[in-house]
Amino acid sequence: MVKPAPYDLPFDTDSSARFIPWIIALTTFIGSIFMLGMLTFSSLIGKWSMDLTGQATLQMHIEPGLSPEQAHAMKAQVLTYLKRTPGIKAVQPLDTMTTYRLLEPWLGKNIEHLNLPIPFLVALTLQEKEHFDVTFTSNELAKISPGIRITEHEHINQSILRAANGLRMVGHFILTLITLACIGALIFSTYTGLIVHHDIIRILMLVGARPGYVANQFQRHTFKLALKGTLYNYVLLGLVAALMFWFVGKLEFTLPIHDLSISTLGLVLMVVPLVIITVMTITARMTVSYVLAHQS
Amino acid sequence: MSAAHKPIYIARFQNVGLRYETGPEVLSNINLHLEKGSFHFLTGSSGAGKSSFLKLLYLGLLPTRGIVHLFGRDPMSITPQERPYFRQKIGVVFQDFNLIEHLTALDNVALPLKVSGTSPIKARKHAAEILDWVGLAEFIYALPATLSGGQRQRVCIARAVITQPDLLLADEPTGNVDDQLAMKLLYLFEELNKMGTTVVLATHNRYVSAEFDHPILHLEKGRIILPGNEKAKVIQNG
Repeated sequence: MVKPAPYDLPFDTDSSARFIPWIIALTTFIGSIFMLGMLTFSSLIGKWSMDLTGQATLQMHIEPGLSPEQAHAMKAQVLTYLKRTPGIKAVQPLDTMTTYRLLEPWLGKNIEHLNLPIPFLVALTLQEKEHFDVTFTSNELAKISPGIRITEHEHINQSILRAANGLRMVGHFILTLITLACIGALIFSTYTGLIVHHDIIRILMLVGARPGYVANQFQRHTFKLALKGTLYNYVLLGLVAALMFWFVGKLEFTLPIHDLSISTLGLVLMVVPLVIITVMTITARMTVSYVLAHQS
Repeated sequence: MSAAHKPIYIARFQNVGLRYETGPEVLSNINLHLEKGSFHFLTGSSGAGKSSFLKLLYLGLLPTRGIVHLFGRDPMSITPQERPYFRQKIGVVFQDFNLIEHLTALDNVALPLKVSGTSPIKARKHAAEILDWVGLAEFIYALPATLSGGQRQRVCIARAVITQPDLLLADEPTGNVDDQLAMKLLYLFEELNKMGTTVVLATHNRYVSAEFDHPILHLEKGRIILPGNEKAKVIQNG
């Protein structure tokens, strides 16, 4: 027996839905990239936050006129004071090379040749339960060396979290806009499809088809288009990933995406298309049901 | 009359009029009752209003005046959600066939069963049997465009009768077929009628209506002018 036509409506001849797979592909692609970006970003923020919690940095400016011996004595005085201060668990002075390495992203290599007044840095690990009075300690240490500054990383942490939340909100807003635009395009295409296939839909209704039957046809067709779009999305993701790894390999740089587990990566790559497919098929169904229910 | 003998009416028309937009009435003062299980010929010349009358019966149009009751309900009160269930009770043989061009004869005939929830396999199996009955066994996989007018008409008839509807409306069903097949099709309608289907068959061919002893509703300029016999339950002319 010859197989029945997949649909009662001739969707294959309908050019109104031609771009829907690409629109869905782009939405899914952007959604996947956004989700991966957000997860990577959250993981980085979490890591930074953990690293920064309970930490403080002391910056001591060394006056250019001081001899190395004087400077050394001053540093020793400061370190001794810090070790005795309540609320401080560990005191870790950073050597010059470590300081140079920390400044490298901003000042580049060969910092030592720039002849800059590089400050003496001390990493402080704070005790969890005991209060560390930054202002009092700073004031006391200023008596040894004026211009000493202690930065509690908790403040930086708060700023980073605020900025991260702001970025997340902007990201969600943009993603919502893109998804809404995709839904809008699908509603328009479905509505056009209803006009294009009006005569056949009329026949279907005359032989007793419920709006749900017609909606089911559009829903199945949209599901097929969405699946196609999802495949295009995977091709796009593959291309972008290949390009990114090639580019990163050239720069000898590590992608932060490595922080994500394979299962998280797989979940995102599965869940985002699934959500988009579900939203699109429901949109097509609801559009058809609404239009047909409101026709006389 | 006892309740057991109380007639059941498939359709009741009271002073029904129909006009298209602001034009003149194409149907005027139609008063009739169609009893369940009856068979009526609807005759009249071209433009007399036969197709419009049938449209009122299959909810293709609503009357512009008067009262229609279809299966005991006023079509005005039938919601869009209920309309499909009413239409599933009605089989229609359209004058212009209304076949879906990209579907095979088999899939066109199977449609009414499919839309009412029968599985596509069962629907197609039954459609093949009906097509065989109307003499189109060899054409089940043919697309309507490849069929002659008569063959298309038979596909349309097969689609209308496949659900064994309560009401069968046929608009010039024998218009494109030879006399021999016309009689065969009319006997099919007769058989369905004997099984309880109410039939209204529109034709301008007086020979066809004369062959059978069924009441005639004759339309002229939108009015029923011949009451037919008593079986017709035509209670009043406009």
